[in-house]
Amino acid sequence: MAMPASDEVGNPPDLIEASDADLIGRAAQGDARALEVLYERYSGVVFSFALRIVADRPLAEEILQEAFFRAWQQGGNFSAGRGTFITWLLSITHNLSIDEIRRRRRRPQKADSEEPEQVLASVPDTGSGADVEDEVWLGALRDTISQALAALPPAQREAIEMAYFRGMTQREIAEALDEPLGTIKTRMRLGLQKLKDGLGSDGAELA
Amino acid sequence: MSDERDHQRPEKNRRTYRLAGTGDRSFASIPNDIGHVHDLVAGYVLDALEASETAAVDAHVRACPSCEVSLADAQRTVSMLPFIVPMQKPPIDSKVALFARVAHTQRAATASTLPLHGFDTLRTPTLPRSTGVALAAASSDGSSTATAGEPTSRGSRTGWLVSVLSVPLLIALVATGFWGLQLQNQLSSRNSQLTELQSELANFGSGTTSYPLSPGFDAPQAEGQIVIGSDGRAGMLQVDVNSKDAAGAYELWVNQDGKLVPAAEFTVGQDGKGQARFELDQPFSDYESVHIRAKALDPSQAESQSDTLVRDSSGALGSTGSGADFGP
Repeated sequence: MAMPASDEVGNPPDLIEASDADLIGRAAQGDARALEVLYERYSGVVFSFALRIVADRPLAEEILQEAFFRAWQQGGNFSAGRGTFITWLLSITHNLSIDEIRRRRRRPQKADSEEPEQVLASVPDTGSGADVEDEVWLGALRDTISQALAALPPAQREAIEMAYFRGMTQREIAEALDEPLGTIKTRMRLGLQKLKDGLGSDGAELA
Repeated sequence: MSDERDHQRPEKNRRTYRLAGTGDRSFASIPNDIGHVHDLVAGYVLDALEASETAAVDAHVRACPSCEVSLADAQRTVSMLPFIVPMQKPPIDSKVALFARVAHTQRAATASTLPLHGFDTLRTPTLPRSTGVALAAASSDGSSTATAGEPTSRGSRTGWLVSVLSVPLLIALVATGFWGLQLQNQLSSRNSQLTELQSELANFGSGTTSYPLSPGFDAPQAEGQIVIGSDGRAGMLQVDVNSKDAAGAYELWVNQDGKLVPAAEFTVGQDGKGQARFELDQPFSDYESVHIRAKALDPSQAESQSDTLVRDSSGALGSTGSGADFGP
């Protein structure tokens, strides 16, 4: 997947049309404008994803910066043959976010801390910051995934969401739901299999 | 496959591969002994396994193509999950901070490749050669002198011995004193550089500052802001002229000692919005005013263009950030 870039910041056409793999390669060699084009393309997705997990805007902004900074620093190791840039970037974001909430979980919780869903419900969808074509593409993708996820049995969906968006292990989920560990493992396995079936070729296209 | 997983999950694999690669057979041997790890794959890609289970999957898939395929499939599916989240546009401050950090890192990397003589003061000071010889001589119990190997007789000719010993002691004293002064100068210089670095780092960590822009007479509906990074020079401007007829090329001008100097050029789109990244020659607060203007077709007319947005040092506009107001 290579999404066209916005030219709002006046980057040259060759950069705007360049593939993600080309851009991260150029960025790794010191071209800050290439990194900027990638930022314009994906900062919205990365920020939203981090915000969904950590439920804290300032923290999500820090994770956004850190994810792009690490991508820039490690960009020389990126190879398009191993997957898309955005899945790689989002995996960095996920690891940073999960590490953060696990670290936070070990500390005392504030009484007024909000659940991620509450934070997201309180803010409107402002768009990703990408251009109109990208917005449409992202919107369609979100609809597809939402439908596939909504089609799962609630218990399976819950197990997947608790693990992926809250950073809980299977054992922690079992304890939280007061269910046997084996039940959680089964729900997760079946849920992911159904999700794969529901997404069909969309998943393969992205990855 | 292990390469792909390493590529897509850099943080996690740094952890799990270390476990798998330690030769701890209590982890690595289990899955191969008991069969495939298909049941663990979902938990693995969702990062929901215990550390021992994660290590077991890592070890197993290296030698099992079937489980490797299962893992790749599951990772593809999970990679879609982030896109379910409603989109939020990050604040412009994040972008400014990121690129200020990138620029700072690049500058630091460039500095580290400069010729070494520029950083001699950062080296550990070394004793002058003469000091070593002199101290070696002086540290002896008197059985040797500055002239190595020359025998002396103890107890006789005391005056001669004192005078012989006093020479290397004097040399050592002078050399040590000289070295001490040199050391003091070098430490002082190093402290100064460390203070400067700490100051720079502190500034870097203190965040960004936003400055709102005021609409010009010809564009009363225009809005905008300038965000300056913690280094005071790198910044980002964001404008919304709130007019569909105002699309085109625009310029950022800074007033440097009474003279307007172009600092950045950017495009305002059909939606009336535009933004630009820039790096100033001087700290932002040193400029008397900044002006956003439509780019003149005739460059000679640039300075006579009217302002779309402006910010001056009159103090009429306060900063929205934590920094000082614009201007002196």
